[in-house]
Amino acid sequence: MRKWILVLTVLALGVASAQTLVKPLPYSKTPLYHSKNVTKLFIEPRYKYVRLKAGESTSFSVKIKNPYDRDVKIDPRVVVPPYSVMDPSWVRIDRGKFVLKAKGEATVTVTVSVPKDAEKGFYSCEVVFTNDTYPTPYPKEEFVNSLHLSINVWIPPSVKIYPTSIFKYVEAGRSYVFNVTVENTASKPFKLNPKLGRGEYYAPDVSYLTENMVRIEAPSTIPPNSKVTVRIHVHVPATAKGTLRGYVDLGINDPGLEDWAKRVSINLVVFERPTEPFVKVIRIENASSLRVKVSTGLSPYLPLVPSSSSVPKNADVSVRLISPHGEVKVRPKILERMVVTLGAMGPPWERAEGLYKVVSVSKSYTYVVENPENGVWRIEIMPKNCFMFNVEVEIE
Amino acid sequence: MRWLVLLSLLFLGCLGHGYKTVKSNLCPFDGYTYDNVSVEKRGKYIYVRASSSELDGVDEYLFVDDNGTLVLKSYCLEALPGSLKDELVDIALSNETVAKYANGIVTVRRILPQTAAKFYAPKELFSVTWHGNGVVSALIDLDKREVVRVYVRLPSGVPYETVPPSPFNIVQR
Repeated sequence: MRKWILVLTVLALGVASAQTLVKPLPYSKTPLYHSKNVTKLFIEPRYKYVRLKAGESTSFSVKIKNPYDRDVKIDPRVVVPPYSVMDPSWVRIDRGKFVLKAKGEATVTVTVSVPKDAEKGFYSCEVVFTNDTYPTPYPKEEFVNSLHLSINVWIPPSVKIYPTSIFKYVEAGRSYVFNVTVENTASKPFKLNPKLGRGEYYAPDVSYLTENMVRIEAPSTIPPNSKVTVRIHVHVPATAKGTLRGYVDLGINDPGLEDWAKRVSINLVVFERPTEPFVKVIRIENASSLRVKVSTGLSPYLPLVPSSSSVPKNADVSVRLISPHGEVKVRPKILERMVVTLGAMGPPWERAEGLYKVVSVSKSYTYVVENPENGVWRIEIMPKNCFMFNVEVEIE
Repeated sequence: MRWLVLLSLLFLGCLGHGYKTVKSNLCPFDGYTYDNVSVEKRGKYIYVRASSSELDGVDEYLFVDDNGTLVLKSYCLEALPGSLKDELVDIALSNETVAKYANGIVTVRRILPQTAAKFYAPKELFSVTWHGNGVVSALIDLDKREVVRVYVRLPSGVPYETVPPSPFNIVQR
């Protein structure tokens, strides 16, 4: 009994001290949305995003419905939250105070006018229709019947960059050059000052490109109405593994480009190609024939392998048959297989009547050795430009 | 390369339509230009194959000569930056239905606004399609990085109920 009393005392003290710091939320057994003291109207839309240039304006309609059997006083006004620097004069509402009849409906027009000297950026405010608020411990009022208005003041970019992302399978120890085209569509020049940046996110098996791996060649300006090329030279270290990631910030002083839009992201997947052939050892004993079939290419029945367009497409293999007494030269039978789609097949947005399309090509090489010598044979297969191959060995 | 373009120009000179007319009807991927265009006329049809050394793949157009007017009948546009194709494959795989059925060979194609208008909006979209046992395709709005429609032709034996319900899915057997 004494223990219980002690615990209760501690809890009471805790509450008392907390009260001095934060004003607690008023407790209500009735959920807020069903509270009889709050008038909750249907507002459509509840959120509006507009993108305007400085000096531009736009208007949109807001529908207000009164679901109650009583009239409701509407007092439209603009409230700018403390974190926003927007001037409320940017937003104009075409109606002042009015009474919305029971079960009635009204439409107000909201006009957003961005001053000519407004700075680029994101601004927001609330268009409030009644004074009903949600209880909140924060200084910002949460209005029940309001529309959140988000205004993006933008400057159309004059500079286009392509590509903005580079993805490639690379080999350790090799060097690559990636060309990025930067086009200036304006009648004034822009500066270009590319620098290597690195991501800060952790991901397993990912390392970041460093200054000693990357060299960037670029002019310092982009003349008006012209294109320039930025050459990104990447040397993949011989010890590299997994994915090499980074980005080049082109450092273009076009105010229309967001920081992220000035970047070219680089994702290089280091692909470890075997240097030795694949070897299959077989034993021949009194066989009448040995048949080896090696197939390459993309099998339509393999899940997602390889999905990347940067995978080389001219898949091929080099095959050697080695008998107990040395290499046996056999002319293979070559079979090329293609999957061809007709224009009328596939998704409706890809219908292309009158055009054939080869969607995959695979090649197979069949080597037949009649009366193969008894003993141990080696079949050596060296793949070229492919991630996989199939081998079938038939001994008869 | 120049020789090929020159041959094409000479050939087009013999056609009812000038090279400029055909060229003005071609639409390479934004920001790029074709540096190899070949044209073949078969009856009333004009087949055009165009590529760029900076792009991966070939764009094909099929025009019809409709009493002197060049009408685009079909197209298959695969000349795109390789990195963009990879990006589009990633976006396509973010869709539950696509990820479930994607297998086989993948193709990435550009869809022109006149076609896209029938399925989403009159703007350039991209189609990522897997041709395997069945076919699954994602129509992508690159500006929003979103899959806006999905097409599934189910492999035989797979029931319709296995496709996640969505108003954007078109399912066929």
